[in-house]
Amino acid sequence: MSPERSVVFVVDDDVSVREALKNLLRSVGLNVQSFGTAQEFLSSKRPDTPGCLVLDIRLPGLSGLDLQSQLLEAKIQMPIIFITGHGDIRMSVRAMKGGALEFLTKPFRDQDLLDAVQQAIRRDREQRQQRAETAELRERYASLTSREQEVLALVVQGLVNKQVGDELNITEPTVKLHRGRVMRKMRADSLAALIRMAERLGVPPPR
Amino acid sequence: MRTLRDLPIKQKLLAIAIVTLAVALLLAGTGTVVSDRILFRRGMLRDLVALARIAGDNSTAALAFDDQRVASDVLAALKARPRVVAACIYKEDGTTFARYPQPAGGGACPPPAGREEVRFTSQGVTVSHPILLAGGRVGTLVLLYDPGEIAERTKLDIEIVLIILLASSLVAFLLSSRLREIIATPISRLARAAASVSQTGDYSVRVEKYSQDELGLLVDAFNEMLERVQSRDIEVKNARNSLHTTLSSIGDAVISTDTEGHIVFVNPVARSLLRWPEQDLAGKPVDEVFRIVNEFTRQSVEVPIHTVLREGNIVGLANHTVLIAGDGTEIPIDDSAAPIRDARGEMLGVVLVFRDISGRRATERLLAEQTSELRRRAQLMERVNCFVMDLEDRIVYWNPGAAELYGFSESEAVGQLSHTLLQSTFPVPLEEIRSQLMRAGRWDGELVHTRRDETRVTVASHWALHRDAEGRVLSILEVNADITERKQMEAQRAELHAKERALATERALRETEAELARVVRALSVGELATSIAHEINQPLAGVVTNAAAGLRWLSAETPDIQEARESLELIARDGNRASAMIRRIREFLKKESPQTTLLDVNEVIREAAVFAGSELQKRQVALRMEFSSELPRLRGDRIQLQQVVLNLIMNGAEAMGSTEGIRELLVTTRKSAGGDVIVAVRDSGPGISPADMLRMFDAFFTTKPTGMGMGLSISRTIIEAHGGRIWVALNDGPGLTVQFDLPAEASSPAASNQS
Repeated sequence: MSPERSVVFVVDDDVSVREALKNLLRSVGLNVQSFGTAQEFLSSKRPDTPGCLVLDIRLPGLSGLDLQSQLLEAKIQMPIIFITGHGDIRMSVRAMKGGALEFLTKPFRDQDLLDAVQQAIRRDREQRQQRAETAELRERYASLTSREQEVLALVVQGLVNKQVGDELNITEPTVKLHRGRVMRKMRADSLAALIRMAERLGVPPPR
Repeated sequence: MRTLRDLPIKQKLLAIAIVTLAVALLLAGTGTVVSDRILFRRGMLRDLVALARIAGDNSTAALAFDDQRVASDVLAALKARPRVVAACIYKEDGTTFARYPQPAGGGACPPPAGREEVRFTSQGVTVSHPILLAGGRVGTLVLLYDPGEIAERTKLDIEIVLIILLASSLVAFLLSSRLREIIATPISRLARAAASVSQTGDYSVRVEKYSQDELGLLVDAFNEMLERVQSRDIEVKNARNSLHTTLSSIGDAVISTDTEGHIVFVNPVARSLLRWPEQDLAGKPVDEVFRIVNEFTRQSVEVPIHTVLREGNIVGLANHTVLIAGDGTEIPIDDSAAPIRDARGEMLGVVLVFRDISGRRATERLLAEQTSELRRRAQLMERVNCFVMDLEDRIVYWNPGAAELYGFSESEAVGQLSHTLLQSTFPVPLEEIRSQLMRAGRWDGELVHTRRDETRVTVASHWALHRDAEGRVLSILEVNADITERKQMEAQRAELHAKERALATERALRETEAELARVVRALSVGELATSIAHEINQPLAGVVTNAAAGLRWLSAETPDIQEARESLELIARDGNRASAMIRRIREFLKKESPQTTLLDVNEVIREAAVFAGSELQKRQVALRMEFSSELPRLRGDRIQLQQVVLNLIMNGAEAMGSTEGIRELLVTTRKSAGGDVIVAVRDSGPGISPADMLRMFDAFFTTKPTGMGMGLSISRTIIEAHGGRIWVALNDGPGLTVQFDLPAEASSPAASNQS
């Protein structure tokens, strides 16, 4: 069902719910790792693959919401689907504000959960893709010399070579040379592509 | 000459005397021999010439008369001179006229010379003398003389000289043997004395003086020199002794080394710090004995002696140096090293001084601890009540806390006798407290003091001695904590306990215990219901989810029967779990039998209020109770009714959770016009909307974030089982009032267990 090995993490202190969730998720061919407490989940070694977290709000010790904020703080971006015994508006608002993907009340419809899980995995995969792309772009950007970075910053602001040269006190042919190298190193086939890359990288930095 | 030079001075003197004498005599003898020889020869020649002249003159006539016989006689007279070997008279023509001895006698005469002459030839001395007659030469006399007597004479001379030489030498030897003592003895004495001084180092030796000559001077000078050396030696010894004593008795450890870094001296303190098994450390390389490391990095530090040897300056050691002693113990030390120089400034060695600073460290640590303790005490002081009194119990310091507790201001209290001012009641005689205080430095106990307004206050009292640096007691610090409330609470608790005991005597012990257990259960019924619902919901969620999973396993392209079976097993397990849960709840809520007794409602409420006490305190809610004293007794279940009252009190307290200002919960009882008992619980919380008011008593209705909506529902069940009603009304002011009524002499609440 999934082109890449994805993993669904289930954290619920109740053995019935935990095993039922595992059973259900497995029945549609998903990999499942389940934990009884938030601490167990945090200390586990998780594979670096797309996945999502199905999390009970009420947990002994670290609560589900606490775990959510800890993951946020640790910059672990993993889509979370909350499940709870009894719906509580305040809690659900807090969960959604913290970036939760879905908030399901037990007992929930199996299809709702499965839909939410699939969506979460898809989203995680996309986010991972994007992060990888951004990281690649960063790497390319880092490979530029500081002069090339300056040229890039000015070019994507719409300045023509002459203006860039004036700005940097270098001759136009030199600007051209740098610009050619920037395009090559950034693997941009057009100025528009370069501008899009710069936008993603947040270049030029606001002055 | 070398051998001569190395001879003892006695023999040298002897040799000098004899050699000198021998050389002088030899020279004199030689001169005598030579001159004697010359004189003797000269005399001999003169004699010969005279002899030849006489013989010639005597022969003149014989020649003239050609008388050979006379001539031979003349010549024969020469016989008297045995040394004349031969004599011949030659005629003018050269023929031999006469000869001596006779030709048979051998000995040829040498040929005549032309004139008078003396000639030395190999045969001997030849003398030719012309024989003259009347102015004309008539012949020649030739004599041959044996000069052997000259050699004989010389030989004799030499012998005499040698004998004299030998005799003189003997005499000289004997004489100088005696005389040399005069010079050699003092010198060899000096030499022996010097040797013994240098060997034994005893400078008290003196050499006897024999003469006033240069040797005497030398002895004097030697003795004087010895005296100076001796006094200097004593000075040096004294200096060394005093230095040694100083180094041995000073508190610092001292090690001195030579310029190679080998140990020369170690004083006792150093030895005890180094803890080296061998006593004699002299000659060892200092690094072997004096091992130091940095206290923190544990890296070894260069012994400062090397730094001094390298740089020639006085060196102080870096801080935080630890000496590793011979037995492995570590001692923090301070140290320094300085070069030892001689008068010319040449470095002779290095002296290293160090001391154990673990004591100082401990002092520093102690000081830091004391400081922080003082700081801590000062912080404490602001909060606690304390005062300081002198040894006569006169108050010398009175802190604001004490002023607040006792009501006496500082100016009122200072100078007063503390126990008089506070009318202290001691648990044991004051003398006993004092003696313990002096012995242990502190005393702890409970005292009762009297405030300014004559009220009594029980305090946990802590007394401590304040000492000066010498340990003399300066004053007594008394710190008091007000434990009156605690004491009262303890008393209350004891009272309640007594009450419970009284109850227990009324009923069977077993019954009471069961009741208490039910009351405790009732306390948490609201929360319990919440968690129960949650607990049941869990297995239910499991059932539903497992069912869905099971269906999916079955409806897959290749149905997985095994997984589906396991799903069904999980469903069965979860179902059983839910059912067990429900059974537990039922048992919990079920009462064995309704305990209907005649009750005083006011008392029921009071008891319930006691149970709510801690919760009300936590929520800072004041509970006011206004009871009618004319209530009829009614029949009912005490525990159930307490549950209701408790539930209403808790709801009211929770409702005021966010109320600013006074949080008061008013519980009233009154008798209705119909003779029923009406209980009202009134809060000043935010109230409730009219719509919600209608649903308040429905099961599972709640406005609380963690509530279950069971409390009021159960309460209604209980009240209705007692034949009463329960209702709610908004107050004129903030909040709402929940009331219930109970018919007097209510019938037995038979249906109450159907809640």
